[in-house]
Amino acid sequence: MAVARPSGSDHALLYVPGTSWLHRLNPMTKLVAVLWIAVAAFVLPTAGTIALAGLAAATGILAGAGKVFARRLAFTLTPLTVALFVVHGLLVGHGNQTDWFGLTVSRDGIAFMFHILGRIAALLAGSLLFVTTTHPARLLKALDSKGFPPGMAYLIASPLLLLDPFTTRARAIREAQSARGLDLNGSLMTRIRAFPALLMPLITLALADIDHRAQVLDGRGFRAVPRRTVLDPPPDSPAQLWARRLILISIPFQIAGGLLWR
Amino acid sequence: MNAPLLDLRAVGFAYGETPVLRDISFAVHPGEVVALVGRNGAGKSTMLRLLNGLLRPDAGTVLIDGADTADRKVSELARTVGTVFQAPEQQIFNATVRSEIAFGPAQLNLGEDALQARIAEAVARTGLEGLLDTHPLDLDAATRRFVAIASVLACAPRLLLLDEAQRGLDRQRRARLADIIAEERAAGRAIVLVCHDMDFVADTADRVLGLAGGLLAVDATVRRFFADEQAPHSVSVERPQIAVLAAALGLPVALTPAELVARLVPTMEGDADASDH
Ligand SMILES: Nc1ncnc2c1ncn2[C@@H]1O[C@H](COP(=O)(O)OP(=O)(O)O)[C@@H](O)[C@H]1O
Ligand SMILES: [Mg+2]
Repeated sequence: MAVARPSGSDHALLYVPGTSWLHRLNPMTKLVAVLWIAVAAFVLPTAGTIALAGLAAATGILAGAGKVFARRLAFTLTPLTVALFVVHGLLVGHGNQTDWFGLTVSRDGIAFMFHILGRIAALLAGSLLFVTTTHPARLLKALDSKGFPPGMAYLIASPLLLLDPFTTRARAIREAQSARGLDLNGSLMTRIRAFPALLMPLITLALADIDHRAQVLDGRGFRAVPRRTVLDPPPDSPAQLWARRLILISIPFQIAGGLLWR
Repeated sequence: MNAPLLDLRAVGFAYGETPVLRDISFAVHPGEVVALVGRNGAGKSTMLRLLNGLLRPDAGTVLIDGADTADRKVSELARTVGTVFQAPEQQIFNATVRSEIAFGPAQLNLGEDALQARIAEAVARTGLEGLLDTHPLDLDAATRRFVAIASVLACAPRLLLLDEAQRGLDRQRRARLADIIAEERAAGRAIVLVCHDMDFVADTADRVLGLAGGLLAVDATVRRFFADEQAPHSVSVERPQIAVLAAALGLPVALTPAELVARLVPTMEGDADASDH
């Protein structure tokens, strides 16, 4: 953490030096926003993920990182598009075949292609927003100055690590609760009343999981590192604090909404 | 014979393109305990999901108490069918054992007294007295399994489905589970249990349904199933040691040590008689 104030561009990083509004936001706020986008990338329908990716890219351009966005998105999405088009549009026997410039193309395959592309574009654009405008040193300082132990980096990654098990778990919860008589297919009111019986288990089990992870970290001595006093912490504001809280509170609903009512 | 509680007619099911079950027909009557056996991936858990309405057959019909599951919501079927899922210890959701057990009956709109009576009975049968205010996640896995079992028993289902509920239980708890199954049978309820443990099957079930290659390869009484060397083999299960021993001694099938002794004693007495003369 020798870098006092990141200024020069570091070529190993995607960081683009600047003073934009996004650059000046506290890294914690951006991290929380990225987390929100990452979850949204999994739960939104195709049109939503594409809109989200477009919005994130536009913000990136405004922050002066247009070049990095263009390059990274093109490098990742072009080969992926070609591969998905060939495999799912032409080869795999998806339904709804149609003629297109002399090729027999599956509409369902193309829809699937956009589904995957939208997710990846949103994830990528969202993470780029963070990495192009945040020097890692500032992130670590921000975490440190908030009193997060070093093992926090692991915990911050946890929600993402948890996403896949969540899908299985959400299904298990839905099945077990409906097999015990909870009506999940009734009127809107019935569904809203059923929601807590689906959401609470999801949160309880995730917390139990994180608790387990925290214990594992303790066991490895992550917590043994003493707290340091941080010089020059990234500025923060009450407005940002509240924005973070709101975004974080919305995430469980985002996950639950996407997984449970799919 | 009385009307079947469960009646499958030419049922077929596939996950997408992959067929899992084909042309399955059988009926289960009140008071019957049926063991569903077969190797891993044979489709046992899928079958249970067809029986509680979580899945609908692609072909044929599943009738529960005479009604087609295709016309019923899972939550409606839950009044008749109770399911203890595989690894239920990972499917506990409420903050206390009491609220976990109350969840099912609370959906049934019973009165408060009836609800409390249901909970008390389920707690007594599963031996969870004294744990009602504990958080289920603070309990060990086997105790949590009994919490899951209690939460289903409290709904008083006429058809009880158990997916590997005996797995990993110690002797005492296995015996308790076997007692619960016997009580349910005596009360005229039907039970379908998925089980890899053939000793447990021999102890608790009346009848065996065996799945192999997506088909119902076996439908026989437990006694006939274990008397036959081929039938268990055809659905990839081992016969209980006691049945193997009886066969090795050239005796008719025995499913319990007491039965084996009963078969053995007359032959020994017979031998003794023979040597007298
Ligand atoms: N949700 C699912 N989607 C797709 N395939 C599944 C699903 N659940 C189970 N299968 C497949 O169906 C087959 C039967 O699974 P299952 O009923 O769980 O078997 P068993 O309980 O006998 O081990 C397996 O090949 C399994 O991989
Ligand atoms: Mg199974």
